Amino acid sequence: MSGYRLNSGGRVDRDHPLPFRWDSQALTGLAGDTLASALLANGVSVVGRSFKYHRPRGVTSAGVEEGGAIVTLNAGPWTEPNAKATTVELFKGLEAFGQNAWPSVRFDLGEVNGLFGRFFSAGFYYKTFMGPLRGTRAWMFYEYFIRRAAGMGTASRAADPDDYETAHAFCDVLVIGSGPAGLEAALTAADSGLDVLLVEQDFELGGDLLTGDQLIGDQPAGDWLRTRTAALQAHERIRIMRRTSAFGLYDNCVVGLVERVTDHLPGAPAHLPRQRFWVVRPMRVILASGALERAFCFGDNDRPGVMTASAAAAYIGRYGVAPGHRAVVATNNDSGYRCAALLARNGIATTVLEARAEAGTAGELLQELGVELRLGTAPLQALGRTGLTGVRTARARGAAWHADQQIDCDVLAVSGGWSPVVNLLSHRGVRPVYDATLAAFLPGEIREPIHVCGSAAGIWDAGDCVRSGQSAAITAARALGFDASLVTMPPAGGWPTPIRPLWEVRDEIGGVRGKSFVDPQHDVTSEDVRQAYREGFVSVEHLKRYTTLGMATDQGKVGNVIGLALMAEASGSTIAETGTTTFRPPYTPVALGALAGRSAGSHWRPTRITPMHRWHQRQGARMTEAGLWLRPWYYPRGDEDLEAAYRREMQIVRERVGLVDVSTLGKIAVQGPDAAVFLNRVYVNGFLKLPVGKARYGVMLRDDGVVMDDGTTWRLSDTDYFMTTTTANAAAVLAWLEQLLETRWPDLLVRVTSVTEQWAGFAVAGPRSRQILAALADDIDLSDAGCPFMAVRQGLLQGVACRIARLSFSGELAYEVYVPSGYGEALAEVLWATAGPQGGVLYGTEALGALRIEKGHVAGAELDGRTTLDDLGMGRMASTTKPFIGGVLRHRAGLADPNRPRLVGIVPVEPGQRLRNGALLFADQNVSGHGIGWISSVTYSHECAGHIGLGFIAGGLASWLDRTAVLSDPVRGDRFSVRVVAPCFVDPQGERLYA
Amino acid sequence: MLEMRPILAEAARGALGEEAGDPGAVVLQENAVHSLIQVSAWPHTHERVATQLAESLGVDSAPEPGSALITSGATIMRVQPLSWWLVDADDPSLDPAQWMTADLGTFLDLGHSRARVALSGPDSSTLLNRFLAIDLRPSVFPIGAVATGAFHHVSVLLHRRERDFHLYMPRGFAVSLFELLTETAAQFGSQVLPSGTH
Repeated sequence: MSGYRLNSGGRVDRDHPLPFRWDSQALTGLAGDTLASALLANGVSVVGRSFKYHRPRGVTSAGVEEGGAIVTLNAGPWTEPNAKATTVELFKGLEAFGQNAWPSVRFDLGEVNGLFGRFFSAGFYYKTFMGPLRGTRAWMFYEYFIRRAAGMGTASRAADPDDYETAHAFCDVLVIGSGPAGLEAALTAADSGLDVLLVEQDFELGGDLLTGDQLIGDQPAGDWLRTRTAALQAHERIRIMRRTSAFGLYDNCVVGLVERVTDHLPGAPAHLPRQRFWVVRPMRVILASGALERAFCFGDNDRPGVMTASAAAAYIGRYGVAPGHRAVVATNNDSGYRCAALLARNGIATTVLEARAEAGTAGELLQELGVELRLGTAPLQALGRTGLTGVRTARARGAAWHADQQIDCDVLAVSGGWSPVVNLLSHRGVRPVYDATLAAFLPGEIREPIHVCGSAAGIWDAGDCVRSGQSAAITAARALGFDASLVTMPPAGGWPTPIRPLWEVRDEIGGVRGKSFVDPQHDVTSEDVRQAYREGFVSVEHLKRYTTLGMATDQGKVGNVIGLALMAEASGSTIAETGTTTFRPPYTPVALGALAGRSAGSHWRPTRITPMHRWHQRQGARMTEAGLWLRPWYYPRGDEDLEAAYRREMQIVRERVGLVDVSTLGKIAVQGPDAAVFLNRVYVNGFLKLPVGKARYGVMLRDDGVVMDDGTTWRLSDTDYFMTTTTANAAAVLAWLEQLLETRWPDLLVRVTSVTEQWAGFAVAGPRSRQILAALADDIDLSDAGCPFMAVRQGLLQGVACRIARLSFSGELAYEVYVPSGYGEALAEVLWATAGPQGGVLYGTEALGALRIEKGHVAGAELDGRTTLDDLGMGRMASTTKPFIGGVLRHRAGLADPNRPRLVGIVPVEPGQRLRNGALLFADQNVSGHGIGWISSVTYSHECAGHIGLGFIAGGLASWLDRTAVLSDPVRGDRFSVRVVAPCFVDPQGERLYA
Repeated sequence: MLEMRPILAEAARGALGEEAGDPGAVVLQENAVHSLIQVSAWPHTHERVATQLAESLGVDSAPEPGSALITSGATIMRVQPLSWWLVDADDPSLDPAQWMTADLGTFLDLGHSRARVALSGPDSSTLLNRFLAIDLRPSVFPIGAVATGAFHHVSVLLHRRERDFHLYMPRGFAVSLFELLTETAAQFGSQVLPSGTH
């Protein structure tokens, strides 16, 4: 092919040249070009290499269906492989490369694959590499080489440097597509009073009208388009989104769009995302997605220079680019004549091969233009290698074809008919119905508020498309309650002379000459289809998967109908009987970054901080993630690492006093006259008689008897409770309580509300905790008598309402103090101003965990969704006099088995050895399998002068107290003996707690 | 007396230098909540509670679900079928503690649980729809409308007022969400004002 820029014509801006680079070669295009049209204008014929055979490929279309000109854009972290050059809008400085080739697409050593092409037929990989040498290892060995030899472009491994975002939109009607039907539908709907969103994947509105050669009524398409576009843009009810692809249609008319915001700009402006992922929720959808022209198969139909007739027309009419100097147009329907006329009018010698026996009125026009018309003729084989040099023709004799003559040409434009774009309907489960007269799949019955118009409905005439757009819009408006006069939907079809269905041209005697591609993107040939049938893959779904026909980004755009027709031919059935596969979203490729939007980097998920967060940072805290929360992990002094810091912090808590932020604990207000009854049913232990001003530790089970969560609940008044949950389970517990009230006990007058964000709190722990708080509380008696263990007091702290409970997670004398969150930072300041001079310490989650392990308190590592009350040694907490959630199923045989792993303390037999979380426990040195228990939590303990741990072992203390087991850590390689002890390592009598 | 601190002051200071384009396209400002009391009724008492609320506020009726009413003394929003938020009710006479009983319903102080951001400017609804799947067309979400939605997975409440939107965000997530708002607003041209009060 030797394309060139025409001296005039097209919609490109000849006053705005755009320099760009193709395979490191400097070229120039024009504003309004795509990469494909610019390459054609520069005479570039080989643009890609095929998937398996590395055959040279050129531009084959002018749209999203492109199967040949698949290229890589940009470089470095901005690399985007597998872009279709036909949809890439040219801009100054664009850099593009050929892919799947070495050293270049023009000369590719991988072309040697073609010599072995006969072996690379359907099922080649399965048969060759998975049959004789079964097993993953052999396949993994072969896969490395296969992936280097075959495939598409190569993505960058660097992080995506671009920004993306998501957005939501709402409208009465979403019109997808801006051809004559879509434009008219949008305008009619808006005139009827509807809010309209019109989306177009191209950078210009108009669809097929952009070629500019049609008439709508007696008005030239360009004029009609200009006036309609102006009206649309001026209409206050219409929003227009260009460069926006509707890639998926989902439940309730939810539509996924991708808007290319800056892809076409030479330097992305600051603050703008590269792409925007839209979720649109329209009341109704008007699908004016058009139709894709297909070719038919013949020998070597993938040679650069072979393209669809509509593509050749578009390059001339829209881009002002001649695809070659000598053209052959092959067609089996009336639409191919538009292309032939355009070629001829632009001085390109053209021959039309008409597969039908007559051309009707379409042919008469060509005679005036001096175009040679050969009836009953079709291409048998394309000639040339890296560029088309000619075509060998075949003459029809009945249904058979016989080799005929050879015609020199450098462009072969083929029209085999049109396939309505019903992909989005397929996403909704609408099965297309085959129309044998039109040789096309048309939309099936639609039971959702979706209207199809234009060529998407199989309507070929531009004027009829306009009327169908009106009809669809008015139908939508009436369905939404707007008054409008009905317009009859034109019937499908519209060509004066019927199409002659034609799927492949084979010589009656010699068969296919060369390779005859059905799906060029995946190198699937007509012979592959027939072979699949011969090997028993008689279902179209099996055919698709065995041959890869229409998979991946193609999704059946190019070869679907042809493949089905060949399958039907092989099986002796009709296309309707053969059926079609399901087109799946996305219709066109979507960058994963667009789907992620701004949920990336530091915003990968929302970050939750306590009111004291910045104060902690000022104190030098190292933060850690606890669910979505950021919490102080430890507060290093000098060069301290985590180990040194937490050991220091826990020691000072035991000896003096420490402060830890506990604002992250889940906090739930449980209110109402039936609150006590409700809590009594939720917790395993009794809550009916909890006095006002007291707190109680409670455990709640799931229905299946497994422990769900634990925490303390404070009774503030007869009808008002303050429940705390673990940080991790706060949301789950609230949802659980709401579910219980909504579904099981709607008769209870109880309201539960999260107050986690309302209250900021510190735990003040250690022997000096009382004097710290007493110095700050205005009106609360914190003496042992005034505030005994588990007492709850409300009053003022430095003039602010507070709640204080004498609770302890560490085992020391301790309090939890809460103030409204707005005062949280100030609370931190006054607490630290008091505790600091007393030799106190700020401690983080590491020391918090260490202290609770010493005390034998369970936490998330033990409440892991598998353990029961008895496993945790808390079976005696459960009431025997009242029902509670999980109370029945906790007695199932499997859960009541005394040999279940139960909570114990673990210490190494040899002092100095270090326990590790997750290590397995075995009865003896015979270490195999999963053992009889595991370590769940570990810490260094000053009190025990070594490492200690909590864990679970079959039979628990009843079987293992003071016995030796073997710890094995197969991941980190440890194996040594440990002793099983009681899980409470400090103050088992509670003398410190009750001090 | 402990000092109360604004939630977004530092985040707002960090965003002040990021103005781009028309600085009036979106204007964001933390608007501290003075008070927020959740008033809830039981299924059989919601009419009585609604009447009581209306009487205390001196209006004909308490707002229906999905709507709000701004009175001279407070803003009241129907946030759930059985719950209202009484916001910025500084007058002690409006305190529901004066009339609420456990048999009638509950009330709960949530005044410190939410950060509130006021968003104004012609592109404010466009900015909000970058995150919120709420139909903000004036015909659907007019002045006085209230809706709960998910903002980056976090439940927030949006109130459309005459000149701006009020976005109520859980306090702990507020800085993270505010950063998203200001980063995204920059494409329109935005202005972040120092934290203030209503």
